[in-house]
Amino acid sequence: MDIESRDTDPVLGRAVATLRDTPPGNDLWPGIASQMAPRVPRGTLLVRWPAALAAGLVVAVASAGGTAVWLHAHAVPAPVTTVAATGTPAVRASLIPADTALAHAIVDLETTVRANMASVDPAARASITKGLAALDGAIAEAQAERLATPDDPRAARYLTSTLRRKLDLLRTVSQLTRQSS
Amino acid sequence: MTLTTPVGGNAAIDSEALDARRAAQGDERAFERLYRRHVARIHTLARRMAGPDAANDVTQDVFVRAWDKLGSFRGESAFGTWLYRLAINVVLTRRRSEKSARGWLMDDDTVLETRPARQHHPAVAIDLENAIARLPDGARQIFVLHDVEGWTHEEIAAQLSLVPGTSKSQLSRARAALRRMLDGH
Repeated sequence: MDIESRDTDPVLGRAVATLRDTPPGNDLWPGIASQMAPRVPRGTLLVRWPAALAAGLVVAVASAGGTAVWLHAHAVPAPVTTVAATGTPAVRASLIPADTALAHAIVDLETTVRANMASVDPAARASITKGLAALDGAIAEAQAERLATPDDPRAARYLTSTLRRKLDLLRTVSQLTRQSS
Repeated sequence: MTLTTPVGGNAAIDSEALDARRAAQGDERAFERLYRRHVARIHTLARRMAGPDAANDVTQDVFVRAWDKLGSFRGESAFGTWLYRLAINVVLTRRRSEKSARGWLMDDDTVLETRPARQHHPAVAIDLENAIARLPDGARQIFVLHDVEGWTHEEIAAQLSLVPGTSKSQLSRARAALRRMLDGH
């Protein structure tokens, strides 16, 4: 307090001392609660799960799945069920040079993306994980088709397209992760 | 600057800090508990600073902004202190958006000189809350910040983008007007 406040009129000073806090006449909480935006936990990806990425993920997975169904209808059952992007020696042998380059790029980028996944909003992380798993399944099926029908150009194109879709998704997620850090 | 918080005891502060952390992580029930604890304090401040008509809007605005900004609350001060500072900023931001500081003070000068003393029902004392509510915006805010909340003129001047002399003169005028209203002559 400075001099100005010490020479307050005694009556005014006593009146100030009697002031008390009083709540509002009506409960303001409903109005406040209706305006509260959903909370994004601290330290998580601040960029909202983009609609474009979500849509792209749906298209990528649905397209891969649709192609797989179409291939199943036109080819023999696949003997291999689960293969990573790098795959077994037999699967790697089935890859053309362009697919091999895609597979290496996927492995490199996926390592980075998965290392940064802790900073991603849990809901987005779940969607990304689910999308990547779906694309992994599509890639495994495509590789199996490729091994089973090495002369079928449709199986070759399907494998290339599923690899490319996964790489595209990883690139998008990687960009968003970098923007948030 | 003396900032008081309406919490009592370490247990209450610990509980409040815990609720603030939970609210920052998205726990709306924790934030509602913080609201219940502080609404009287914030509403009173809003009423005195912004006037009774704007008090509900300002109070809602303060808590919505607090929810939005909880991520920046580091727990270095009590939540009540942080919220109180936010409330002051909300009130003053509204003032700045409504009129320029110069116009705000010139208006005060005019109104303070002509504000009538209490003329009716002389036997009924006008309490200080009502008298404060009758002050012009600028004088009221300076009086509340200085005489009620304990700010110095330097702090007020810095917050309101004034010179300390202006804060002193406005306070003097506000006190004189209040004395007239309280004395009824």
